[in-house]
Amino acid sequence: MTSEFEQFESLWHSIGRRISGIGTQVGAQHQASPGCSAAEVVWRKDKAALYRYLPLPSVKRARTPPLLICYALVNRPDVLDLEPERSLVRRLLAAGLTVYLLDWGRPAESDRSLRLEDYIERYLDGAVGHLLRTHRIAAVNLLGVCQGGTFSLCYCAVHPKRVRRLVTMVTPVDFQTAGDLLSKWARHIDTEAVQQAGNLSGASLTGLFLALRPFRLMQQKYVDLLDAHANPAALETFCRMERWIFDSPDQAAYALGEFVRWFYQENRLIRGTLQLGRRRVDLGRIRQPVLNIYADRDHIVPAAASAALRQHLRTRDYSEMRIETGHIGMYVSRHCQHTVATSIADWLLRR
Amino acid sequence: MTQDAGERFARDPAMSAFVAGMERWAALMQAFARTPPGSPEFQKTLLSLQEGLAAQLDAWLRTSHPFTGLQFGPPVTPAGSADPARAFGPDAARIACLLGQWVQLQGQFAAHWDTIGRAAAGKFGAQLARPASGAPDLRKLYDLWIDCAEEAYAQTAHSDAFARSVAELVNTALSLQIEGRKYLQQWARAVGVPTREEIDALTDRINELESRARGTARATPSRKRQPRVKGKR
Repeated sequence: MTSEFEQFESLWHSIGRRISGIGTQVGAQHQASPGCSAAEVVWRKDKAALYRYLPLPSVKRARTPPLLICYALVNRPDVLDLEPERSLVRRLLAAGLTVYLLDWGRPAESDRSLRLEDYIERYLDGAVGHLLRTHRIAAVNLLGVCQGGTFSLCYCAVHPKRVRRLVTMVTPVDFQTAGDLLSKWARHIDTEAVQQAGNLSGASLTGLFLALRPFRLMQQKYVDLLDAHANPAALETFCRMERWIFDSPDQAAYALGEFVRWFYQENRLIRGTLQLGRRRVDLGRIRQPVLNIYADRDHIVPAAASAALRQHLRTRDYSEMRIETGHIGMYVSRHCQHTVATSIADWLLRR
Repeated sequence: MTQDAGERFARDPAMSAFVAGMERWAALMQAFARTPPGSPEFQKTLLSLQEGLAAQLDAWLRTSHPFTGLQFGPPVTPAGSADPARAFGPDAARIACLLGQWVQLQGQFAAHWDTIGRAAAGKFGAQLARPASGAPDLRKLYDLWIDCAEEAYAQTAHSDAFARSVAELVNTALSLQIEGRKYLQQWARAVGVPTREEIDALTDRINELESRARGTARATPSRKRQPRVKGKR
């Protein structure tokens, strides 16, 4: 027993050095690209950029409209394309889909007055408009992830004709379910002060997410490395994940204030009281096929918060998938990615 | 490069607190492992272990939890000034009041951390007091400790009192940030530098003009040929 403790302690002391070294190397390799797959910018508006992923060689292209991925403002979309073996994007490409990603960019202080309406009606709509023009089609397939799923629902409700099929992934819909800790904490935040104080730093937001489960996220996962210390590939994956977790962009002040007030505090999306500019966001207007994928152990977006979607849609073609994983596992677990990507591709191609 | 990174890692206060906590945890578990279950010493060691773990958890939360760290801390007072009252001039009373609130809130969190530490150690102790089926496995014990700590944390974190502490902390930090900005705006005005308010007003103006332009473009029928729709003839 004692020797095991000694081993434990010596491993612990050496591991920090190893993590930092590999983290620096990995960081140096991943400065520019939004992920590991080859992609090119095809459209820009302010700081938002639309990336087109290059098709994989010798993969037959599927006959379906392009799939536009709309990610959250929180954290970077790199996690969808973390490394070749853990890339949702790559699996979608392998299924023959034409994949685009809307990258919101990193807001500077001069972007503090951006509203949610700007993100949805200028950037998301601008990207969709670009795809409609270049592909000469009437509607795209839209995949909204996390907060990006909420935006996609809003977009679909306001512009139902521009979306052929909608996939939502770990998307909050009911922002006041019983187990939603983030929602409880957000309930009494002064959103006017959020808007006046300027952009919220990415570090603060990361801190808030870590605070949801501090012992698992700030202690246990590092101890888990003891099992992986001899495996360079596992360490590299770990470092990529660390880099992603601590690379949250700042949040534009006005949009963040709106998001906290309208969604977390007033739950407007499901109450039917949400407006974007002069347009009311009515989930009942979403009539196209919808696939809703959520995680049953999600500590950021509880399963109930996503599953609530089915009660608020009027589409006859609604499917849902409950995956046994957590919020982050949905993005990076190899098993989940295989299941999720295959399901999305099959679902899109069957309709 | 690796050595530099390692040194940076060692200097990180949160990481140092974590490593210190792990060392303390390992020492406590070593002491526990030396006591045979069922022996007269066992209950005594268990109690001492619980106290040690509660203190370790409390110390870690005080130094490393995001709500007690720098992310939600007060902004730095103007350089070279140890007296915020003098530095912030007429807004000094407000700043002092907010700083007082921030300190008071840290006291509230300290009470929450203490509750969590004791509850976690209690849960862990209760689990250890159960008859074990085999030799203790260090890694399993650690995972059990984390489960107990998270369970205790969730109980407190979901309470209304904790949620109010979080909101008050965030609101106070935001108010301090706003007051700090007001001070900098006054300074900018005094030396003729464009202020944040002026830049924001210009940005809002541009956004409004763009929005109007988009509205006009949508309202005007396009002369271009409509895009061909796949699947329709």
